[in-house]
Amino acid sequence: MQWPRQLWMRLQAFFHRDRFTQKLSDEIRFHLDEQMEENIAAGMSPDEARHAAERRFGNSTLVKEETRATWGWTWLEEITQDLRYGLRLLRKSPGFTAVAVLTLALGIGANTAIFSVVNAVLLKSLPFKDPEQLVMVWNRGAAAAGGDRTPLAVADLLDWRAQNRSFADIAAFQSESFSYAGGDLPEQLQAANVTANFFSVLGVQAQLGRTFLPEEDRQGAHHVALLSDGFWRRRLAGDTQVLGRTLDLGGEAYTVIGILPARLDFPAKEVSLWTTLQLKPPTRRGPYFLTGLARLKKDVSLQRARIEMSTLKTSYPSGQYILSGQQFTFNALPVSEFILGDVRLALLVLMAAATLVLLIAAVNVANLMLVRSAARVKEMSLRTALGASRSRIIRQLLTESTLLALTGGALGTLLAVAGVRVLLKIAPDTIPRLSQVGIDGRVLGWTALVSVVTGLLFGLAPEWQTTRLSLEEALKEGGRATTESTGKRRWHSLLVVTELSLAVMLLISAGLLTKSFWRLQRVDSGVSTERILTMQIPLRGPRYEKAQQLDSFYPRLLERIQTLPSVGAVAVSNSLPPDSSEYSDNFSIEGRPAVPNQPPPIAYMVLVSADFFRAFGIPLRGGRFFTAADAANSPPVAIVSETTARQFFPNEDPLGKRITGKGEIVGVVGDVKYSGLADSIQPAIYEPLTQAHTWDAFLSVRTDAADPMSLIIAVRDEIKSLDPELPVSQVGTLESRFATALAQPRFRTTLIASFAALALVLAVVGTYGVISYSVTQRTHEIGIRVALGAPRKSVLKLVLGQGTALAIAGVLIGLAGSFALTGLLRNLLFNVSATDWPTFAGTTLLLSGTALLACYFPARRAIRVDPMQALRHE
Amino acid sequence: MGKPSDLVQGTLDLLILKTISLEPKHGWAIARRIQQISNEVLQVQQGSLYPALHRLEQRAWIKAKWAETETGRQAKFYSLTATGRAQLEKETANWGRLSGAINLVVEST
Repeated sequence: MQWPRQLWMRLQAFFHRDRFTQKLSDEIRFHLDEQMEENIAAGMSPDEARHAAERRFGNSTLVKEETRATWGWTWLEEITQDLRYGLRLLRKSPGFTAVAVLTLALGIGANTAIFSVVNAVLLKSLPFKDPEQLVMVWNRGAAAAGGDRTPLAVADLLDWRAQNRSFADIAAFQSESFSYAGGDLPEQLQAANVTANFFSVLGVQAQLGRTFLPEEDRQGAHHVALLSDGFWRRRLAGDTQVLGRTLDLGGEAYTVIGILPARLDFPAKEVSLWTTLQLKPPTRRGPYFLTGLARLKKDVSLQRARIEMSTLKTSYPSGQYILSGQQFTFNALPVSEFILGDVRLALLVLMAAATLVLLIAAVNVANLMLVRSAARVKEMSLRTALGASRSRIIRQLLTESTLLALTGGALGTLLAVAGVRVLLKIAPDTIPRLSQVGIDGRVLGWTALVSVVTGLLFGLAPEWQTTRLSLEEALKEGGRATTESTGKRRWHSLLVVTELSLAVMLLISAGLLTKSFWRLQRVDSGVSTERILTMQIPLRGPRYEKAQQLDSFYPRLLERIQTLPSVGAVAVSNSLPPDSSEYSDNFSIEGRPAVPNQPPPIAYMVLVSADFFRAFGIPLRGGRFFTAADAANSPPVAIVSETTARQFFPNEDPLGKRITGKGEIVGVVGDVKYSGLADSIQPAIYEPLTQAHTWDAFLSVRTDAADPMSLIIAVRDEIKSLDPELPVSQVGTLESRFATALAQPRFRTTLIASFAALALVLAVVGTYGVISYSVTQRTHEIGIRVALGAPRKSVLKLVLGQGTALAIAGVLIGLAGSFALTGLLRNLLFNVSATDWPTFAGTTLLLSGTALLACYFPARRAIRVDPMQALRHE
Repeated sequence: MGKPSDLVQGTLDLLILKTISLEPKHGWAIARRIQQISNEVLQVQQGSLYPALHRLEQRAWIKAKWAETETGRQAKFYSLTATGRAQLEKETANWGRLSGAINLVVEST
């Protein structure tokens, strides 16, 4: 057993380094003395004897160093030395240090800030058991039915549960909302209405109490509810005695059976309570209102499940409704994709953009280091001459660059902390799990890693350059400003081309997203959005159980609000542009037999009060709007949108035709977007609120007042006077609803545009620096040229030519890279092709222009070179 | 610039171990002894002895002790440890095999 002794020796050597070093010196002195004595005895003079002994011994400094290396601690000593030396150097050139650290801090800061979002949103695991086994399931149907996310019918759920062999279990849910009047403030609560197995499929336990029992989703089961941690703490003061108590939700009593963990935010983070569906045995295939959630069996891939599910037959009851079932196919998505959706792509794009910025920053610093290394050639050659090995010098230089990078990283982290705060302020609520964004251990680890890698990256290039210099070359060049060596110029050029091409890619991506956002913002929604106040007034509970109750409520509400000052038009509707539609449904046109094997037509069903079209400025294309005469007992009528008319009445006048169960078409109106601004227009059928019923109503008020929000109190008072317990939610202007719909694209466009701007500035500064440095280096040469009679123009051409070559190379590589990469953005782009040529051309112009401008100033300096001065300067 | 050593490292280790196997010696004496015994053929660059000595000491094959020389000066004396002695035997045997083999090859042609 030797290692304890070896370890002991090592530790001794470490803790008594000074004494060990002293002893080593003594040992070597003794050696030299003995040898000297021998030499004297052989007849040499003392001086001669000493020199002979030293020659015989070799380089004693080197021997000492090598001996100390056997103690195993030199690496530590060297690092300390290098650090101390590096710090001293950085302090000695504060200008260089400040620029380099700041550049790095910007790059690393941007990177860290975005990573902290990526970390929270994409990397932290979802709050479910084995989330990779969870999939969302839908029908896939016509666009107006819900497209890829067409809801399920109860019959689908029962069929699939009974027949499939891929899933361990299938649950389903629908969104729901309840008015809660506990305390003094009536509140509208977002809820999820779920099957009893919902939580067992998720693999989530209650933090207090229990989740649902299997029998609790049957028809007529006792009303039970699970609460979110947030709601429990906010409204019930986190009272642990709440279990078993009943809550009054929309006029019905629900027994609280458990509190869910705080981390659970499924199916949406706004959900405050979960209740059970009351599954009635279906008598027909529809209606479609459920979203499915299934857990794959172990070892079953989603692919296999998809294949199996597509073979299932819709066995449910008779053939009478089979028609609507046949047009649907099975669709499934991993739950993480459902939760993250577009956000994942957007964040990855942002992360890539931030990384490009960091790369550009690193390239700039590499350029600075390269310039500085030129000034240090003499130092390095001296070191080499004194016996420093190449690896030793590289290590020292790497320590310096890492030191620089870590300082930049530290400052960058501070910037990131501030940046994250800004990010969270401008980030839309629709990005899931934003509340978990912060600087944690993983983020700091990432920053450290990124800093070190960056340091190595920008450190290595110039170092390779420096240490490759041969001694003679260094002695020849050292200390004298001669023309730049071609090797070094090549490095500078390579770096400039790299950063210009990276900047081109970033600018093009930003350009595409900006253009797409601009188009999205200007998309015609079909309504005029100014001066409209909107709010949701869901009519729930015993006071609105019967349709007649609704019939008496809405007219009174409209009438009262119409009398308020500065109110132009008032409307109640079940849908609101740009993205709130309640439901879509099949319809058929009277006198037109259903075509077998053809899906029946489908459209958004929009229920509106008579003034809806006037309030939203929807134009009439033919026939008439609804009027007060379209009452409950008058002949049923409907209005169709232009698209409906075009699609289903291609060569005939829809006016006067009848839609089965809905009545006669009396008008055609302009198209309105109800399914999001980026979606294509879907057919819509309007029905008067007097002849069809909805409990989920939006109240919209068009006003003459400059600020629609000034009407809120008056409108609320009117509602309160009709029903003091009616909760009002989603109060805001229509413009703010549109702004919310644009929030995510705006967020990512803003971010990527700022990154691109930063990249542009860095790249231009870098180009300027390199050209400017090159002019300084060539002052002598230019002086000679001018002295020999070169016209100013040719000098200008010389410098600009160098810059132009770099710019062209950078732009070309950047364009090629963009062609290859912008395809990844396709899903984020609206009405803009990923290779949109105006964007490509504009970016090319912008970047070449600024790059040339960056060369122009050094070039002007070059033509002013006074040959006498330039030559005397030597 | 190579390392200032004319001897392969393993060989130098063997020479050192052998030299101090009879009695403890200090660095200079080891250098002298190697030179004398090899009839001045092995010209060790004397400095290169020290990294080797310290490495062997770290490996606990030899141990060191400061003591007085016959001239009354303080010097660091190196001697073999038990491990070092075992190692010497192994290395000697190895060397014998190796040099024997090389001799065979060299003389056969």
